Amino acid sequence: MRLRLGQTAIVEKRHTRRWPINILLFIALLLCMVWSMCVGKYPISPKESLLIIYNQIFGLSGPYEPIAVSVVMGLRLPRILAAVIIGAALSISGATYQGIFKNPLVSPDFLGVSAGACIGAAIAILLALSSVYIQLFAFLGGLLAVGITVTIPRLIRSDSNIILVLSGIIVGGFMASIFGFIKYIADPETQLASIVYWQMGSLSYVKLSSILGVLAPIIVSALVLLAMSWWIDIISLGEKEAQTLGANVRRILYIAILCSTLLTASSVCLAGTIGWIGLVIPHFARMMVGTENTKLLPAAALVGAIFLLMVDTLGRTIGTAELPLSILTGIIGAPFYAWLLYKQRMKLQ
Amino acid sequence: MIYNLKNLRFAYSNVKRNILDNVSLTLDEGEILSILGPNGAGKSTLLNCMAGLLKPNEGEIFLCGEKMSSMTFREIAQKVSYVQQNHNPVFSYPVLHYVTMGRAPQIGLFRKPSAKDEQAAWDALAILGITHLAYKPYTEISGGERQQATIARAIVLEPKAILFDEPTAHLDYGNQLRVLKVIKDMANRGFSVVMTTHNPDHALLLGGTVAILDREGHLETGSYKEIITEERLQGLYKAKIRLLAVPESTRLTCVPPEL
Repeated sequence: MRLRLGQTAIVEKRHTRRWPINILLFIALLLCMVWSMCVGKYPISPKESLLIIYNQIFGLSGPYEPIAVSVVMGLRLPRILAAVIIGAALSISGATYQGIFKNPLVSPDFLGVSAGACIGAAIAILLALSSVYIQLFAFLGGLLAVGITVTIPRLIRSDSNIILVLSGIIVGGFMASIFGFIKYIADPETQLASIVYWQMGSLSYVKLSSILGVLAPIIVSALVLLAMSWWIDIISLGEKEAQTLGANVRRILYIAILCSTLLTASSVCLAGTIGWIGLVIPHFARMMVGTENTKLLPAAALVGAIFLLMVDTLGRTIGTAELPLSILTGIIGAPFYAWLLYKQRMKLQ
Repeated sequence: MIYNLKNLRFAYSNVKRNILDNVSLTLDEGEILSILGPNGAGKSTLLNCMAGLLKPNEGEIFLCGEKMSSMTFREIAQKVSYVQQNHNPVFSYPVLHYVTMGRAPQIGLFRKPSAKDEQAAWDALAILGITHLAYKPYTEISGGERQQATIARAIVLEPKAILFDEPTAHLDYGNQLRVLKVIKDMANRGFSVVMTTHNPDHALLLGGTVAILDREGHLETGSYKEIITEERLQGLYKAKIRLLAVPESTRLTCVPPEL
């Protein structure tokens, strides 16, 4: 006897009324972008900044001062776009890592991915390679780092969340040493400054051309992860259970790791390592929309974009000199994470 | 015939002894099979083999007439649901979402469940009588409710067979009985059911076929009336268990010895 579930409804579906939260977040993001465009040492009105962008895109000339045009197009627009892209990329990447490793404690930083990508980029700079290779090396470095981090728990046959985190600390520490060595041998006249820039993380020098360079891998990886987000939920139940649900666990894991590492590495290429976002934002987004990755990934991307944009805008406006990004993300991110842990009262094995 | 296991031998690579030794078994549509056996005998190993998670060293499993060794996880999952033990997800997905995951064997890698899949999950919840739990986090419902949700997930794709690994473990007495009732109900609806249990009374309650797996990996099957005897239970559990008829009931009941 067949039940034919789903074909003749036994019960009426009950819908809970949901806020169109992603639309609200998207509107908030747009407002933040306009706000960020206007504030700074050279204030511009929202209307003026939007008109400048509009005229530039369509090649019109407007009655604007050249300095306003160069502030908007040369400085603020690239910076805003970079903040939005990187914030979104790191958050999707972090949420994916947390899902596939069924571990809410991991992030691109804690798994060593950021450090590995940083070393890859630094090696490419040492070898005086072009920006395409810097990107490729960053990706390979990140992949190598996450590879080592997930291999250590397998070697000692442990499935524990804590061991994976410890393993990430081991890899991170090792990478920090290698990075120190690279700085030690780098040419202080030409290479050291750009290597340190990569390590510090900053959006100050992002150009539109470098954004275009990483746009394709970021968009493709993000779309792939969004498309398979439902399967990330299944993987998060554990390998055996996912297999009994017909999942090709290995294939899903490989695709997810490749895509989220590519997201992190591309972010590193654009602005160096930016901490905390990949860890904190997924948790925050989970509180807003729930744990399902189908809802979490898009929400985390939007929240991450808003967060990084706000932090970067604050960093360049609150003081007389610009505050480095890593200082602000840490000052805001760390206590925020402590509060989230308290709120969620996470049960960790 | 749903399952046909032929002369299975299974041993873990790091252990010498055979966990399963020349095990043969058949399972028909709507049949209930309870597997009894001492701790560590390999009941879960047998279920893992039947779910395709482990490959037997020798012998072959036929699932609906098809060789299981040449089927993918996805093909197996469309015919068999496996309710495993010790289920503790890290993320607290809502029950409805969790049940919908049972449709995964029909959903492509870059796709999400359709409205029909979600309706099927609602229907499965209705069959189990737990639609009120739909939006509750799976990690925050009671053990008995969780087992019901897991069963809802197991039937949502309407498999041929459902495998239960100790479905009554960690449940209080009332919930154990409720889960057994659900299992019997599922068998009446045409699902073949295999379950492992430590409680011979559960096998007596469900009736059907009983199999006993001993420490040497031998499996003995037959109808519950033939298999569950005082002699076998005493040998199996190394205790002077009696099988007595309670006057008010038509069933036999296990009575443990005085301590």
